[in-house]
Amino acid sequence: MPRFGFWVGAAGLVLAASCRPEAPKWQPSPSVAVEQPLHFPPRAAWSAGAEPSEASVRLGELLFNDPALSADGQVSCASCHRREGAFSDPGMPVSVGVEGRLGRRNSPPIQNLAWTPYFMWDGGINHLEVLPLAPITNPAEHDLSLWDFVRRAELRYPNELWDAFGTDSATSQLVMRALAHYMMTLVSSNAPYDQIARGEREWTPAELQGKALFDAHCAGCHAGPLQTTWGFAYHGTPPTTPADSGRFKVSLRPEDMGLMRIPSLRNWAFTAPYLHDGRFATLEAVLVDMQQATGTAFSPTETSSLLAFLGSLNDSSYVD
Amino acid sequence: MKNLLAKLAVATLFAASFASCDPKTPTGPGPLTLEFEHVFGSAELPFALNTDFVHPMTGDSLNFSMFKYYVSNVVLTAEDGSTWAAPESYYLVDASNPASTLVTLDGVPANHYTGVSFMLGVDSVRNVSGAQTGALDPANGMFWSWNSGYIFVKAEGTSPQASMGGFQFHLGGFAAEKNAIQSLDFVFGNNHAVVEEGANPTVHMKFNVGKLWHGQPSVATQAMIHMPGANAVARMQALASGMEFEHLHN
Repeated sequence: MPRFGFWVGAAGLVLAASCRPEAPKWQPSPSVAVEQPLHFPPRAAWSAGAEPSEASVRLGELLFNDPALSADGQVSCASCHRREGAFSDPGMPVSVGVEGRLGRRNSPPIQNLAWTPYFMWDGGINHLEVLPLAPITNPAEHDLSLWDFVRRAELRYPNELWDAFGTDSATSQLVMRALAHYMMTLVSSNAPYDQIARGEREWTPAELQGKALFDAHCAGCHAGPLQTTWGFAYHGTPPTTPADSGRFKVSLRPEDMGLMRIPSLRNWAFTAPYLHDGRFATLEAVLVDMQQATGTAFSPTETSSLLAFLGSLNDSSYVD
Repeated sequence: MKNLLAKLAVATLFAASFASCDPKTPTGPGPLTLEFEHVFGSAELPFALNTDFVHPMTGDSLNFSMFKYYVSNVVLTAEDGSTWAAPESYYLVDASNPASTLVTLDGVPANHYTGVSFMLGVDSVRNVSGAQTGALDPANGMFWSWNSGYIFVKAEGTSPQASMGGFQFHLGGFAAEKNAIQSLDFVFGNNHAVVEEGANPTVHMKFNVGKLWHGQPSVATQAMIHMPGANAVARMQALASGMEFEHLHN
């Protein structure tokens, strides 16, 4: 019996040796942990199964920055989500897509998406992996069919696709998953606000006075470390007939007419203009509008302390 | 002693092989095919794309350019009361692709089956679980990009009665009052589908496309549905009433 075992073992070795020069075996790339800042809420439910790896994040970043993945070869995700704008489109009320077409709503920053329960101004998208569908197929953005996008991605990044997923044939699932993995790694958690939360510095007196005003007047909607309840609201006084039906388009509830998702205020210094239609060029203008709508009047000192507190939400390390 | 054991083993194997040839105990697993035949109206005319039909209730003249839908979560019920759920059973049936109207379930455990249930649509879990593949690949054009979720049924075509000259029903929705998923159950009656190795029973379903307008408004008043909501739910319920078990053959 031992002798029999020896010969089986030997035969196995010979087989293994003769197989070695064949197709390389795929090795999963090291996983990338999306850090959980201790003062952040738990991650959004949709992100539970997401397992970014070094290779899937790399592929996602290449796809994100490649203008060849658009109808006219001019528009990438990064065209309207620029790092210097915390991945928003600074200075643009709405963004410019293929053939110079204008979008409909202001390009929001991309940050802390693993903690974002749903996406878009109207909250219509329920999972980061299916978010790319909208800009890819929108005629005013990339204007490609999903098939086209996937085929182009496959032709341009066969090696990166193999490294990420162990296949050279792309599917929309893999391509959109790679984009989601890359976007999940875009975490902004090093603003003065975060440094204070970690005990690395103290509030200044002006910031502290501003924080009290913010908590009293703004935190009902802009709550918590991400400054949002993830609810829907109208900023200022709602018009009788809003130009954009907003959340209503998704929910069909009359009370949602014209409402938009309450945005995080992080990195506001890099993301002007403001609101879903980019109607306000400065934060001061937003504050004036808000005071008119709510019948509040801040003194110049109060306004400057409020701005001092809001300044603590800007993470300059994120836009470098 | 050794010799006796070997003889016993051979005898047992022999007996076992006889038992497995008994026609009353099917061995498997084997395949089972669901065939979807599309018909139109109370006359049950053979349905086809690019063909004129007149709806008997609304009087609309209808010419379809597209009719496709999801069938999912297929479960077979056996005569012993046990059930078998087909794994990953998501199928896109497309009237423009005859092969897609034959849905073959593989690896079905040998048994005598007395009924089938499935969803017209896609379960809520897959509507919220990110990018899917296969029949559920969003590249198949059956997923709303701006309002995440599957389009369970796409029916499009032209009609002189529609104010825009055409109709487009994109029906779906999985959440709360917008849930348009139709869970359907069918019993085969006296005839059972016998699944075993080497057999391929076919369960023939008849789907009446005209039921889209059963108790529903004419294309003159409602020609477009492009999102989940009450209209989509009502159309899905009407359409689902057109799915029937027709017959089966072993």
